[in-house]
Amino acid sequence: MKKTIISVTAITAALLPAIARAAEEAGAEEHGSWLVLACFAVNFVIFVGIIQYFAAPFISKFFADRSTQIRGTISRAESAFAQAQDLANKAAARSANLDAEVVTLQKEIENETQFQVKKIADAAVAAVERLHTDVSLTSNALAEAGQRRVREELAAVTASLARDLIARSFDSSDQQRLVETFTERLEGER
Amino acid sequence: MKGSRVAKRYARALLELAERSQVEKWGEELDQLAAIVSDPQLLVKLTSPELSHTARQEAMGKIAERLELGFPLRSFAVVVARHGRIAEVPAIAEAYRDLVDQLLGRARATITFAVQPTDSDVARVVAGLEGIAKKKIIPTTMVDPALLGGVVAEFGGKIYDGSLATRLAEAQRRMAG
Repeated sequence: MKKTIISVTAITAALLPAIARAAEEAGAEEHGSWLVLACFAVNFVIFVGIIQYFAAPFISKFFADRSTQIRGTISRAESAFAQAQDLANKAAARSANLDAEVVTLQKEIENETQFQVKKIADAAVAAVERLHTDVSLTSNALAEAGQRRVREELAAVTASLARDLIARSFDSSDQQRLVETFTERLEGER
Repeated sequence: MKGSRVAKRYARALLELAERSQVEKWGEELDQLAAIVSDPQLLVKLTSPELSHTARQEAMGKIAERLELGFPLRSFAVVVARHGRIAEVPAIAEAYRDLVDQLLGRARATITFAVQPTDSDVARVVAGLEGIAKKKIIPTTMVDPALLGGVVAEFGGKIYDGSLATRLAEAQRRMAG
């Protein structure tokens, strides 16, 4: 029904200008006609209505789609921007961390260097002490060996002198005395 | 050689044949035989494989005869030769001496003096050793000038040293530290 009404209205609207033009041509000698104007107005309104009726959904859908598309693009752009921002933040943080890491490394290198220097110094001190001890021990040993050798030589010389002395001055009374001493010792062992 | 079991066996056999009154005499004769046999040249000849068994026995018999040993010792010399034990004779003599000493309750000692001792010196040292051993001591006296002075007695596996040389060596050792 509605379609029918719309169709009739459309046909009428289409014919109205023709009727109006005929009427206009009929009264062309007179300047202007309210009827023609009205017909044009009605025609225009119908045109607008038809356009609105048929084109509005498409236009509306087009703009809605377009709006959605633009919003999606904006959303993606915002998301990309956010990601970029995030990456930039991370890069900045990383850069800051790198600086801190460099500082830490420098500190570690300094500490290690100090430790190594101290270790080498300690080793050097220990080596010097060991050398000192070795030298001291060696010199003591050499001194003791020298003293021992001197004592031995002295003892040997003394013994040799004593032997010579005994050989020169030993007589039978000495032998008697030694035999007596020996026999007393044997008696002591009974 | 002293500890040879063979020598001890022969010595014991000879001692068991001897009467108490003969043991000393037989010991002396055995010592004479041992002294002759100990000569290296004679020992080599007597133990040579070129010499026959019979010749060896005859040689030992003649040596014993020449030494004017009693018949038991002559027989002993021949028996020793027959068993190829001529080289063991000195050890047999030593073992026999030890067994006789044990039997008669006496011991032997070697006493070394720095100078020639008087009889009284030897007697005094022997008396001292007998006091320790509680046995009669048969001394073997020697002289060694290297002792410088004093006396050294060796007896029963022990050495009793009273020499100046040892004292001097001890003093030298102490002085050397």
